[in-house]
Amino acid sequence: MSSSSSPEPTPDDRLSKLQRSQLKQNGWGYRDSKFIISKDGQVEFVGGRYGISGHVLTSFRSWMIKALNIDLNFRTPPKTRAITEEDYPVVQNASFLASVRKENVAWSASVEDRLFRAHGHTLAEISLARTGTFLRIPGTGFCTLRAFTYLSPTEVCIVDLVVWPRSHDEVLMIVQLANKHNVVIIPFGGGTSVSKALQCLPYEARMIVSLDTSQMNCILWVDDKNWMACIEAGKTGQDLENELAQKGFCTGHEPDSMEFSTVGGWVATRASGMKKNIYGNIEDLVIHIRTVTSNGVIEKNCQVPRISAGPDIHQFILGSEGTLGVITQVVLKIRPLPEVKKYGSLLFPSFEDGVACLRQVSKGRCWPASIRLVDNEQFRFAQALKSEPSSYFQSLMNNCKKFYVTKVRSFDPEKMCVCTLLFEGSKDNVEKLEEEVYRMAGLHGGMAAGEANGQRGYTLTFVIAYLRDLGLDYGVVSESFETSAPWDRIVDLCRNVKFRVKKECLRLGVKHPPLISCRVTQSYDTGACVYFYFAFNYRGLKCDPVHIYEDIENAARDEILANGGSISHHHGVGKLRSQWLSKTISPQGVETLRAVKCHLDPLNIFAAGNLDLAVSQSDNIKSKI
Amino acid sequence: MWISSLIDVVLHWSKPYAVDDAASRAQIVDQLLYLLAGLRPDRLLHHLIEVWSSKRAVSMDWTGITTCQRQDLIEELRSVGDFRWTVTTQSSSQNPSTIDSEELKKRVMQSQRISDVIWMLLVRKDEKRSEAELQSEVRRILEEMGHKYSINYIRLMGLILIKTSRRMYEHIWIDLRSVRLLKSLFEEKDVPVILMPTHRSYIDFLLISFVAFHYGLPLPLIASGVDFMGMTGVGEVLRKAGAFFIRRTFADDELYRTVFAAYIYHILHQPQPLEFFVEGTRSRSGKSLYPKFGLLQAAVEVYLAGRVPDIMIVPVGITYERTVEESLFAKELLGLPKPRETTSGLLKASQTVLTDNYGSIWFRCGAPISVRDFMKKRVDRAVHNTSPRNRFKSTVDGSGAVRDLALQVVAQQQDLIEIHDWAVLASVLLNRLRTTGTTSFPVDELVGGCQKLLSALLLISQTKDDRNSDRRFEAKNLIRCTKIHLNILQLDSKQGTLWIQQSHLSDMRTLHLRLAHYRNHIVNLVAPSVLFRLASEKSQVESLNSFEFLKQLFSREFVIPEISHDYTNVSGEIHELFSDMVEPFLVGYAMVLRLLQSDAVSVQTSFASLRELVKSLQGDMKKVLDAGVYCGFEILSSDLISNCVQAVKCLEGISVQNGQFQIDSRIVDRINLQFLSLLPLKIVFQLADMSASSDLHVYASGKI
Repeated sequence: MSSSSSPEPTPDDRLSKLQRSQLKQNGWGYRDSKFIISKDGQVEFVGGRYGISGHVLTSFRSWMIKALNIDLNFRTPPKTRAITEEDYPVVQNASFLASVRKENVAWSASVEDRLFRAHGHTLAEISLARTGTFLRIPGTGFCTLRAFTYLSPTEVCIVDLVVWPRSHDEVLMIVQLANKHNVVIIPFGGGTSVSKALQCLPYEARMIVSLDTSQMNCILWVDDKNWMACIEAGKTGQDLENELAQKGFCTGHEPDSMEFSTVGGWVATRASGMKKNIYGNIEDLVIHIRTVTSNGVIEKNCQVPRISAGPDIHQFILGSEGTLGVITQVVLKIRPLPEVKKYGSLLFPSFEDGVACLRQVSKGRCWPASIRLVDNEQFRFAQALKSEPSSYFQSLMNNCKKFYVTKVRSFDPEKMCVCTLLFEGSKDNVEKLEEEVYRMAGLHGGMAAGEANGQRGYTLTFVIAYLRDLGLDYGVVSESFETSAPWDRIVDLCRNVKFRVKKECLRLGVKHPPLISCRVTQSYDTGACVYFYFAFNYRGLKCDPVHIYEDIENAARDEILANGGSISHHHGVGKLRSQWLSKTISPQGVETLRAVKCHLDPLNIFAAGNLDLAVSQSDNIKSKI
Repeated sequence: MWISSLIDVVLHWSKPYAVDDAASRAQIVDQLLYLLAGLRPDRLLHHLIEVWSSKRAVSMDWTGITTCQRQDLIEELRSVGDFRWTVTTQSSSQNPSTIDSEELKKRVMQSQRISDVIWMLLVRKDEKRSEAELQSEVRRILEEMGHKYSINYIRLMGLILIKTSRRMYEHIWIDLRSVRLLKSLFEEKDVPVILMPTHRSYIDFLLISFVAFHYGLPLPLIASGVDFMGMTGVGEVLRKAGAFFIRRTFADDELYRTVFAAYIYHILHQPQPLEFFVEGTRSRSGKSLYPKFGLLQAAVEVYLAGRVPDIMIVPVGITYERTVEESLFAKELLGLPKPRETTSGLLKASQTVLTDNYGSIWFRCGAPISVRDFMKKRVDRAVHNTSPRNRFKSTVDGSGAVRDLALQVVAQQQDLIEIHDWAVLASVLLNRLRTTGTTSFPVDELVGGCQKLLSALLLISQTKDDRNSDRRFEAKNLIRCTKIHLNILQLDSKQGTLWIQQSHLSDMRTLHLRLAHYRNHIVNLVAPSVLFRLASEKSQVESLNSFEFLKQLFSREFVIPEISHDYTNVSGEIHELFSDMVEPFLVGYAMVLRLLQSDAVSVQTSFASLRELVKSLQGDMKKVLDAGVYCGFEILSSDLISNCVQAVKCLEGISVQNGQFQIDSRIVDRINLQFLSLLPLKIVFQLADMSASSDLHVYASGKI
């Protein structure tokens, strides 16, 4: 093992370039899609991929100024310094590299490829990517994992090599080689992680290899008798749904990141899809998982709807976050495409009323495919994202609607909130369900607010992720975090978390009032998932805004836990939230996970350090030394 | 067209009150539209009246107040007409859409918590009542408890108050910083505010509402004891003024406890602040009482259960230069039975009360305590996550934190008490009475003594008050005090002598206790440093232990801050002054401890109740004092005796077995010896004298 700053030439340029040409390295999503502020000072969304693409959003600028106190002259663009290989010295394991070459696996050691796979999309990671200050400090030995979460940006490192296996067998071979040559593997799917799960541990002395699953992207078979499909782990959600649709099927799993996230990533993080009410979350969809571990392949020998065979081994792989092995193939349930797909929306006089309605819908189990309630802050934000009315008549209609809602129905514009609905199924069922849902909404003071508003709400879901990059250009840091809680705690939890965040902002000297907003995105029998958006303008702040942001998010998570919320509903634990894992699942629970990890990966090849599992590993190694 | 002409009319009406800026104009237009669209002419009228009257409300630039500015409310009230004040002061901003009192009860009735507890009681074997009976019981409790807040009644009471207060009081000094503080607290809508005033008089019930009314703050809902309800009519009037009633003890009544908790929860969820007295009852002695925790516990639980993001607690200090119940309190403390509160009694009392001059009242709020910040390090709210929310069970941590919080509130209240001239004079008089035995005093000497004590007190006082720097006690201060306390004192200005009124000479015990009431306003300022000095006479290591011991022994008597204060800057001379003030407490405690010892003749070893024990001790002490060696009659105060007994109980000198209070003589002996070893020789000799001259031979065994 030796450290060297001169990387080998890349044998397979085609693969890496393909992805890099399409996706941003230091921001969200496609390169061609983003929010910009045009010369005349209006906000626009460019690119042709989304519903609002190409529209001028006339009222958004004034919203930005009002809600976040943005000064358009205060610009904080990303650093465009050219990155050189010298910036990121490589820890090389020559014998591993030689074996990889011999086996003819596609690989790359170019700095762009390594950077792209060294981070997910938490604020801290993106902000590092924007300033380009990842660093690898090889051989610093073992420091405590606790310290890691709070390391300064300069101490976060990037991977040393990227490999692109093309099949399950190639993965198996790479994992065996890694064990043989003691090389770290970090599986990489869509790279949309928001838990710092992809970050490399800076004290890792071994070579770190990113195993990119993007070349394993086939639907291996579709079983239309039993409605199952076997999919390779690297398939992205969007491609999967498109291809299945050609056969008249869908999985119905639509997380907000579905354009980029992969089937393997879903399983590894316990993902949740927008339409889980009909199709289920990933753990409900999975029939069979094939995982390559250091000790061999772990899988079941049958594809059955249910099995009683001791504790379910799938449950160890679901949510394992890359610490146990590489997921290579997954069999998912599929269903025929729905006959009808219909949007809808409801207005409620207050968030409390909205939650009460959602609760009742859940009691009756008459869920639409998706039902989401956004609070007043987000409602007004969504209003600001409307493009300008195309005609005088339209604007007149808008005013009339506004008058009716606020004056006649006396909804308080400072309190009212909106609920977006998506119905799927046969025509009859959808009609019946619609009627039922609107009736329940009426009982809680809600009123129907049209299909268009609903559809816009769901389009915005995909676009909203692009907004952070715009904010970062103007001194605003923002991020989302989520949780799940029992029904009777939802309202109190939301209010208390908002209160705590505002209080922490004041305490930490944030100069402008923060934007903190929430929405209830998933409903269950006994509780719901709550999603928070939090942004603040750091203009005038003396210290590093990212650290301030992290302090506040940590305080918010403390508050969530104190109010009966969970550590995470679907983002996962990663390294960002590992400090709360032991409290969440008890120390015994963590030790159990460590024991499993010890068996499956004795050399700690999958050393991403997620779920707080690496500590015992380093202890193990230490004790061996 | 007609809308705009209507607006013109409105503007014309309100011309003197200047609705000139565009913003208010726009607001009015907006509101009018809103009202018209709602087709509610009644609201329109109501709204116009509010726009009109709010302009007349007290307007003041709150941002300018930085130093300790204060305002005389009486002075303020002289400048406005009584009737107009009662009608218009209440501005629209301070009368937020409160929950109707009946609606409040309904919400409690229908709450999950109530149905849950009923279900829980029903499955119990020993529960005889049926579901319907339990429900009607809940309704009955709520009827007994619930307030009937009505702004019109408040106005009516305001009218009466403004008339009477002007006659009774010379000044009501309001600390303007406090008002500004309250104003800013009420702006945070989600966070309930609890006002926790000191409790020295029935006037407390009205005063805060009175002040709030004047300054346009939301009026509080006030928790009171059920004993009030016995007064025909008065209970109802208080209910309408926002009072609600709580039984004194209900620890064993599961149903009552739940209804009570649910009621507090709903009160904290509406815009009016909650007001209650952490001391639980009026302090007869004039000194802070050891706090009661029940109500605070119920309020804090609302936060711990996550139902509010925070609670702001505002300690309030109210100081009376002359307490209306002065003589009544003295009698109660001497063990004469407390008269039942009746309406006729109140009316009778008010005839005499209304004609007297009661001097000044000082009103001041302390730094608000955020319950969230206070609990942060002490309690983990997450422990309640795994049980249903309506089955909140308090934890050991939680109860401990509530106790600390209550003590902190009381400690802060102490600092808010005004060091007024009369308290200083009363302390000096009490000393002279005790040491010299005479009942007439040369004015010059008194003024000198008062000035010395006042400057010493101001030196160690915690409150940073600019006015204090050049405050002096002069003859005119004494004359003023005498005027207000004509019932006790008599001034012969020609001879320059101050006399005790003849009528009091026959009953020195009551006189002592009346004076002690005012001395006690300030005694807590000096007590910790005196105790510290007592302990530090010992060697270094021992002194710490001794101070801990004294803190424990006097834990019910004085509020001694947890943080180790620096008492070393108190000079010897000042210490002398201070120890004179505290001396009766030391003597009193020594005597109680002595009487608790096994060889004291008349003491039994077990008692059915604490009260009985205190009463027996009080009787014995009377006999000892009758011998005439010691003149500090205030030690007969049942408050002092019961505080001492409670502390001994905490130190395990008294235990409760089968409902009987047993005295453990071995432990009492130990406590007594340790305490005696710390006392100054002067006091020890005095105690010896008392024992020698006592006919009862209480001290016969010669242990001292």
